[in-house]
Amino acid sequence: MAEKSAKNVLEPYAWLLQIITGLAMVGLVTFHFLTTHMVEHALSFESVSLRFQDYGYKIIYALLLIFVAFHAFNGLRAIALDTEFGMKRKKLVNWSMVVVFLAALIVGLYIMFLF
Amino acid sequence: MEFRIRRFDGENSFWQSYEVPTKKGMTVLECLYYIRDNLDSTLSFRASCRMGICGSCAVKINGKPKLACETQVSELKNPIVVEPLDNFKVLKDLVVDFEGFFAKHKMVKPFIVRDDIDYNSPVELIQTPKELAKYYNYSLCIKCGACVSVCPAAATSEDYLGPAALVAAYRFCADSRDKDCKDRIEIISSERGVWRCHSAMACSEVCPKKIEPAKAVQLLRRKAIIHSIKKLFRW
Amino acid sequence: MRIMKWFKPVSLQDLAFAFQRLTGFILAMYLILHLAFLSTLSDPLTYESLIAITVSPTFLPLDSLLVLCGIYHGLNGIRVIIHELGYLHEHRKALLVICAILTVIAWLYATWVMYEVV
Ligand code: SF4
Ligand code: FES
Repeated sequence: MAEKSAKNVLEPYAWLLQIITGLAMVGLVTFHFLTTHMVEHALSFESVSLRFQDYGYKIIYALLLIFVAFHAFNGLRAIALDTEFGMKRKKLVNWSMVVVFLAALIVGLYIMFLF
Repeated sequence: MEFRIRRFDGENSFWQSYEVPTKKGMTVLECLYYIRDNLDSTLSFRASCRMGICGSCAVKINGKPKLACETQVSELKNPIVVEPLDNFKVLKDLVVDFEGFFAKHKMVKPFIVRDDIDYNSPVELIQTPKELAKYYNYSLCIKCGACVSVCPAAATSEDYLGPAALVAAYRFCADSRDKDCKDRIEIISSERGVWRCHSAMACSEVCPKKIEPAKAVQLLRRKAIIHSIKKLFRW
Repeated sequence: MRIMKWFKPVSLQDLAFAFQRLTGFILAMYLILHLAFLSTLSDPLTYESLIAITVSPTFLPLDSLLVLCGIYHGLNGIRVIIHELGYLHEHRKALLVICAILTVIAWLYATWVMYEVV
């Protein structure tokens, strides 16, 4: 039980990062929502590619991507570990979340560097 | 008043109703005694002190965990539905298995740890009222298990230490007489410890002693974070 | 299933928790969809045809619900963070009410913005 798994180094940082990314995302997601909904035709191919050519946007979107991906998959990881089923397969859960996180980053960056 | 009780005989779970003549001032526990003494001697439940101290009589009354000895019948709607606590294995009727609960309590070392105690020439350990106030509230826990029975994390994770054990851990970590909290911190920061808490705070809502277990867990988590950051930089 | 117990609250506090879980899960699934959708940016024609479907009045109510999930998850998240850092436990009910009110206001505003532009 708890004694066996006492050497647990990552959980505290996962929790801290979940809070930090969560707070940062409140600002970033609001920004994302406003840029895509405040202007007409903000989602047409042209305006999307125009935005992505701007370095400011690129940096903000890269940050948003990293934060969102971490927050989402660390959240799912926590949900999975809350169950006996997930806890029994702790390593599998942890590693698959790392893989999905990286995959999301790669897909996201790929999209960004199309422009 | 009608008492609808969820019973369990070791194999089958079933509902049974009893009609109890109640009067003002009667508690649910008194009614359970009435049923056992006059209507059905096979009904099992736990109780001891009858005054909210021992923590053995916690049951689910009309959907919420409460101490049967401190719940007035006059406050409740008819019929009164009594069930065993959730998140515990039912042994018989309203009696649930507390073995794991107390094992977890033991695990967090619920006692003062010091290396300078000399029983041959005992000295008084001085504590200021301010130091007492830091943990006093949490020392009121009567280990009734109500908090664990509503905790969503405990519902799906049998080994999660749970609010009650974590309250005990914090109570001793916050005690100025305790000299070694590190061991306890290591235990509660395992993945079966504080990280399973997601602040649903149901425990604080139902605790009959109003000791805010949820807050104890968060304060403990703060200690765990500081501890692991310190460890990272080898302070 | 035992995980259904996450969604059987005994008080407003754990009702908020149940919704946090639910919205979190929905948003995570949406993130995956969103990234898959945006991959079509490599082909402008597919992208334009898909965007024509999703950015339309028929899709607006769904979009608005998604935004509600996001706003709730964010604001309730801030509330939870305050408590997880060990503060304001004594005022948890008031905080919950404030959070609910802010969620509704922000959602109405966001929905208004969305309807204005389309
Ligand atoms: S913290 Fe409260 S609810 Fe939990 S065991 Fe102690 S007295 Fe009972
Ligand atoms: S009988 Fe002791 S607390 Fe109720």
